[in-house]
This record gives sequence, structure tokens and C-alpha cells, in this order.
Amino acid sequence: MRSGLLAYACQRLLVMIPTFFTIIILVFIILNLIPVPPPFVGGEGQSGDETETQRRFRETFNLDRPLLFNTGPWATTREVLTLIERSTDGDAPFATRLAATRSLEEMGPFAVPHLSALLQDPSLDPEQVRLVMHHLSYNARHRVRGPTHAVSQHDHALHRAIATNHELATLRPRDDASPEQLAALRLAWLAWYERDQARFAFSTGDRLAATFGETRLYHYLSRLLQGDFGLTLQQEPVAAEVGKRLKVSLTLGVLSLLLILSLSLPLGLFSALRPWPLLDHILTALVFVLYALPVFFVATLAVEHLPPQGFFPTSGFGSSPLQNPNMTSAERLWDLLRHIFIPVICISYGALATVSRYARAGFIEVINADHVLAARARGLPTATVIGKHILRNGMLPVLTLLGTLIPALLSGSVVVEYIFEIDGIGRYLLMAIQVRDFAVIMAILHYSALLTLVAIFLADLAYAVADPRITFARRT
Amino acid sequence: MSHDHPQRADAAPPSWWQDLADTIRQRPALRAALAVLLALFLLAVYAPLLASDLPLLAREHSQWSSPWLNNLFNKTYYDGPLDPTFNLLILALPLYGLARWLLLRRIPHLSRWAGALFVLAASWLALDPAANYLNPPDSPRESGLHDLLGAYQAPYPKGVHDRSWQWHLPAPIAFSFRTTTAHPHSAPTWQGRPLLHSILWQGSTDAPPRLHLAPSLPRWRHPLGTDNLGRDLTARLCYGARAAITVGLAAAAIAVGLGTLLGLLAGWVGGWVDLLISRLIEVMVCFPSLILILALTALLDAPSLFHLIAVIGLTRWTAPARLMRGEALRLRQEVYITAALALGLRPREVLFRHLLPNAIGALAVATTFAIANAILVESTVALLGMGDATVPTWGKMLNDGRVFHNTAMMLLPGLALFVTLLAINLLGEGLRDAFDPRQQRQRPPPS
Repeated sequence: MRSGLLAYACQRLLVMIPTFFTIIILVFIILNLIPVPPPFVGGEGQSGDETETQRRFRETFNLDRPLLFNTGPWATTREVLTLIERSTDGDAPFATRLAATRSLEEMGPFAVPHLSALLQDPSLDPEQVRLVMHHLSYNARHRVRGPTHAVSQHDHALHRAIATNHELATLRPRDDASPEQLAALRLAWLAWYERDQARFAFSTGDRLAATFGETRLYHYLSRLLQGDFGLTLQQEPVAAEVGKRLKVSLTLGVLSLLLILSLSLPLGLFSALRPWPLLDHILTALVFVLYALPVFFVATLAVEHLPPQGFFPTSGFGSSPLQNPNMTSAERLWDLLRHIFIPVICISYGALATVSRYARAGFIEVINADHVLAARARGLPTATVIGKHILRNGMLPVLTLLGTLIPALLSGSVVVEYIFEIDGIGRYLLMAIQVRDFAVIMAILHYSALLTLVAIFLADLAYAVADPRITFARRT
Repeated sequence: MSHDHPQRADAAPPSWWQDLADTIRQRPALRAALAVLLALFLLAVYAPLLASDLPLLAREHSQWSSPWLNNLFNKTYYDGPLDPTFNLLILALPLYGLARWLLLRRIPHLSRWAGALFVLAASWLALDPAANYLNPPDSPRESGLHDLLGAYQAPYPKGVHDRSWQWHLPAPIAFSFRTTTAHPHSAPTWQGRPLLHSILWQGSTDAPPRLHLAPSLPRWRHPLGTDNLGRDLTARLCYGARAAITVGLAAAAIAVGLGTLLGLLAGWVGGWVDLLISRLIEVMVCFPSLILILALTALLDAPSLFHLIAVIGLTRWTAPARLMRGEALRLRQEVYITAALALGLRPREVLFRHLLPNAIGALAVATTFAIANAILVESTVALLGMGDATVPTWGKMLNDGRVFHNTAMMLLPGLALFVTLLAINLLGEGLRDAFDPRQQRQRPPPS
């Protein structure tokens, strides 16, 4: 039995991995469907090429590669020339020029041989030559991520990369470069390419790997595996920011779940046993009323009509440490409980109504079942009948509900966190949506999906333990 | 089969509709819920008759006119297609009733659905040119930006209300949902002037413009008071019912339609189609719906009500899909389906003429709950400040009340939502009981 359960659990976990993987990819693709607006600077006045600030922004937020597949490795010199022509075409709309520039940048080092070949082409006009050199200095450099000031002294590869980038930056033509300066730079670039050619000789394997590897999706996934969700717009790590708030939301969620289960099962059982039919009717009516009351309505009324600093304060997650800095742990816990009492009630009352209704239906079905009748007929005491025969079987519908309860609680906590000004992931999500911080939105979607998956897994497991009919050998 | 056992031709089993009607008659809660929903629908449709800033009837230069009717379909007078469509129902509903009465008396075999469709289509076709006729292009409403802005401030559109009526009959509440000032005949203290107006028209009126955000007290003109901008709460509540009904019906239609299609496909075709759809459902179920909907609205610049409807519909289809998949799997095993297939009916015919009608009970229940859910989700999104700012929805009103600490603005839309959701949930529960096959129902005993 035990080993069967373990095998079943492992099997369920294995099934969940592809599901979670699909979720991650779907979320990434959908949230990356809209084109990224040119941030901060830029506009009609510029000549196709982007400023350094925009590049930095795109590199920081993992936007400097194609989304799913990189066709850059397979580009020909002719295509690169077309892109250069398009991005210097003064008649084309700004968006077209920008798109051409971005495609060139997304090619990365794979464009360097073609750009070098173009430098030897005498038919280019000076503006195009300038742009080719500009792109050379960008595409040929090593990608160095993260802050460079805290790098260890002994990371020689990184230091070499930074030195190379510095050299490439000195070869970049200035906007007001004279034709003589451009000609000199052109010779310098050709000499540089003669020297560093080996770095840009790519095998087919390299190209294939880059087609799938040099993409936003791959980089996002590979960093995700290391627990790195990227950076927020304030350049702080998303994982830490979301994790900090997840603790708050999880506290709310777990307490609500405990409240729901500890109240709904007795309520449902009591309703089902019907010691007093009138009470059952009242409870049923109450369930309907609670179910139809919107959470935000109740929460708003509570915030507006309860004293904000009363016994149950209606804002925040615990008092500010500045207010009373000398609280002991027990006092802090008590303070926390007082703060989240009303939010927890608001999150859970709707689900409480649903679950107790399900529990009631489940218990009624079991009470009328033959085996309970038989147990009664054998003269077993009522407590035994309820404890051994009714409770265990009647709980099964509630357990199946558990998987859908967690997402509902998470949804509810968004509203409650917003109204009670609790700094959890729901409120953070709303703030992220307002500033379009997609890294945060993706992270929160992933976290909530993962929580739901875990809940479904636990519900399945609990169901398997509670339902004596389930035999592990036959289940798939 | 021999014909010797007694036929029950004289006591034909009650039709499905009769059965449903009987069930509804037997349940007072269901009846009450239906009555409430019907009242809500009528309130939504006839909101302009109850609350409008245009006089229903006016007399000027010894000529009768109806500014209210003239502007009923004026597309420049409303922000979106929502209100003109509902306004169409104002005239179409009585027309439909009349036509049905006439047609059914003349043509007894006319299908009631065909009749309904005919009348609605005919009234649409007839009313649109009529509206253009009633509202000629040189109407004062369309004479420029100033008039357009004026309409949001004055109880009557600027050009209309500048005229001195010899006599006029106002609507019971002489304000539309976006009329921001008091009645022109009331005291000239122009409370609740909107911010934009006080900036644009500074110094243009004799009263000194001031930013007045405190809601004014209820007066006889405003039976339930006004909101922070001086807009009538009663009018906004009535028009809010329009948004709620639109969101509920449209989003539920998308969700249930999509879910039914995918669920039937999965259950009926089976194989890799079933595998694919089931995995998709599994993935969708993992997202907390509100979080997913909010994240999707982040992709839109300024989500309109119809964007929200699409997002809600496209994310809430999993429950109907699961249900219909189960129904299709269950019904496929039934003997009559096998018989129909063996008789040579095409799968499409079997699907739509045998399988779907038998699943309609479960579908009706799922639709009811989908409607309630869509309304709730839309209100929540509006409350969180991410909804359509141009449509007066109950959730938006509640959020305004929350921000401006106005009890009436919180309580009224909240109660309206509560009553609506309660009625829809009661309807759903009643339908579930009515369709439940395990339920013992009173049927005429076989003779």
C-alpha cells in the first residue's frame, strides 16, 4: 500500500512536469506577442539606429534576440545589405527602419562576416558605411550581462571580453564623422577583421545551436531553471521581489484554507444529519447569500465602516515596525493575526459557502448509502458510524474541490490585497500591470500556476488515501 | 412490435418546454429569481425612458417634437454601440409582442423562434433608417466639439437646451448617466463641476468655477443622490444594468459556445483530438482566472467593455468544455445514439439532433453560472480600475464610492450586483434540480 502510494505520487508528479512546461511556454509566448514599445527615448528624429540606452534596456530585459527562432545564422550578405538599405532609407516609415535595425542587431555575431564583406563593397554610400561600422561594433562585441563593477578580479575571460568590447567601442564611427575619418575607420575595421576572423567562423553545428539557442525563449527558460525570473523595471531581481510578497499571500491563502476546511466540514455534516430541519434551511439560505455577495463589496464595506485602527485594523499586514519597535515575537504574531482576520474572512466566505454545500451533498449521499444503513442495523454507536463510515466517504467530493479552491483563493486574494492594502502578490500584480512590467506578470502567473498544480497534486494524493476503493495497481 | 398494448396517444408525455414550465411553476424561488431577472432586463432596456437628459416631449414655436426620440439612435450622442443597441430593443420589444400576437393568431404553425428572429430583424432594418430620418445630419447635436462636450455637462444637449421650450415633459429623472450638472432650473450653484470643465471653461460662467469633488446630498431631483462628479446615481444604476447584462450574456455565450464546441469534439472524436483538448483544459485550469484575465488585459492599451468580454469568454470556457466532454462520452454509449448511427445518419446530424438536445440541461445550468461569473469578473476588473472607463458599470461605481468614501455609491451598486448574482444563482440551482435525472418528478401517470 505505502509503496503503491509512493509510485502513484511519483507518476502524478511526472505527468505534471510537461504541463508546467507548457504553461511556462504559453505564458511566455502570449505575453511577448505584443511588440515592445521603444522605451524612454527615440522617435521620428533618429536615423534608424538606436541609442545606447535603448540597447541597454533591451539587453537588460532579455529583448535583444528573436522570440522563438533565430534565422540570423542563415542570413546571406544580400539580406544584410537589404536590411542596411532599409534602415537608411529616409522615405520609409520610422517603424520599418527600426524593425530593420533590430533584425540586424538580433543576428548578433552572425552578421559580422557579412558586414565585413559589405565594407569592401565600394557601392555603399557614406551613410550606409557608417551604419555598417556602427553595427559591426555592436554585433561583434561579447554580451556581458549584469553589473560589471562587482566582477571578481580573477574572472579573466570576462575581463578579456570587456577589453574587447572597449576596443570595438573605440572603432565606432561618430555621427558627425568626416569622409576622411570614415575611410580611416574602414581600414581599421578591415584590419580588425583580418585579425579576429577566427571568432566569426561558424560551423553548421554552431548555426543550428544558435537557431534555437540564441532566442528569447531559450534564454528565458535557461535562466528560469536557475531560479532567475529576470529583473523588474526597477532593475531588482523578480524572484526576490515576488518571493517576498508570496510569503504574505501564502499566509493569507493557507489560513483561509484552514478556516474553510475546519468550518465547512462540520457545517456540512451538521446540515446533512439534520438534527433540526429549520437550521438546515437557514444554513442553505445563508450559503446562497454568502455565495452571491461579491468579495469586493464586503471588503469595501468593511474597510469603510470599521475603525481603521480598531481591534481589527483594516489595512496592511501587521503594524509598521516603526510604530511599535519593541514587540516580542508573540506580540508580533498577535498583531499579525488581528490585521489579517478580516481579510481572511473576506477571502474565504465565498469558498466556505461552496465547500459546505458540496460537503452537505456528499454527506447526504453517504448517509443514505447501504453500507451506512447496514452499520446502523448492526447496532454500531452513532459516533462510530459517523466517524468510520460517513466522514471518510463523505469527504471525497470536498477533496476533489481542493484543486479548484486554491486558484479561487488566489483570485480572491488579489481583490482583498488591493482593498486592504496588503503587499502581497495580488497587489504587486496590479502594480506590475499598471507599469507593464512583463517579467513580474510572467513570474506571478508561473507561481500561481505552480501553486495550483501543487494543490491539484495534493488533492489527488489525499483522494487516493481517503478513497479505499482506489487500488494503485490499476490506475493510470 | 405488436400493437396490442395500450397506446398512450391521449396522454402524450409533456414536451420539454412544458416540463420546464411545470418545474418553474412548482418552485417559488425559481419564479422569484426569474421575475427579478426579467425586471432587471426591462430596467436595462427602458433605462432611457426612466432617466434621460432629453425631454420626452417638447413644444416650441407651436410645434411638437421629441428630443428624446430624436436622439435615441444618435450614434454621436453615445460613446459606443452598447446604448444604441439596447435602445433598439425599446421599440423592438413591444413590436415583437404585437407582431407575435398577430402572427400567431394568423399563422398557428409559425415557429416562435422564426417569428422572433423575423421581428427583430425587421425592426432593426426599419428602425435604423427611421433613426436617421428622425435625426437628420443638421441636428444641433452634431455641430461641433463644443456641443459634444456640452452634452456631458448640461442635462440637455447644449443646442437643445439653449432653446426656450414653451412646454416640455422631462423624463422622471432628468439626467443621463453622464450628466454632470444640476438641472438648469435649479439653484445656480453648479455643484460637482468636472475637473476638465473647470479648466476649459474657466471664467466663462458668472459663477466662479471651483473643484467640487464632494458628492452632493440627495434631493428630490436625485432620488438616490449623485456621485462625486454630480452624476445621478439612479441613472447610473439603471445604465449599469445594461453593461452587466451585456457582459453576462456575451461573455457566457463565447465561453459556453467555445467550451461546447471543444468539449463535444473531444468527447465525440476522441483519440489525439481528445488528448490535445484535454491537455489544453488541464493547462487552462492551472491559472487562477482573475489573475489570468488581469494579465491579459495588461496586453491591451485601453480595454473597452468588448475587449473584456472577449478576454472573459476566452478564458472561462474550460468548465463547459469539461462538462460537454463528459456528456458526449456518456451519451455516446447510449443505445439510441448507436441506433441513429446504425440507421445511417451522418455524425453531424447525430451530434446536433440527438446528442446536443440531451445535453441541453447540463448546458443550461453551466450557462447560468457562466453568466453570473462573467458579471462578477467584469465588476471585479472594473473595481480594480482596469475596466472600460466610458461605460457606467456597477464595479466602477463601487470603486468610485470606495475612493471618495461615499456610502451610497458603494452600497447601491453592491446591492444591485448582489441581487443580480443571487437571482442568477438561484435560477441555476433551480435549473439544476429541474434537469437532474435523479430527481423524482411529477409526471402524469400512464393510463
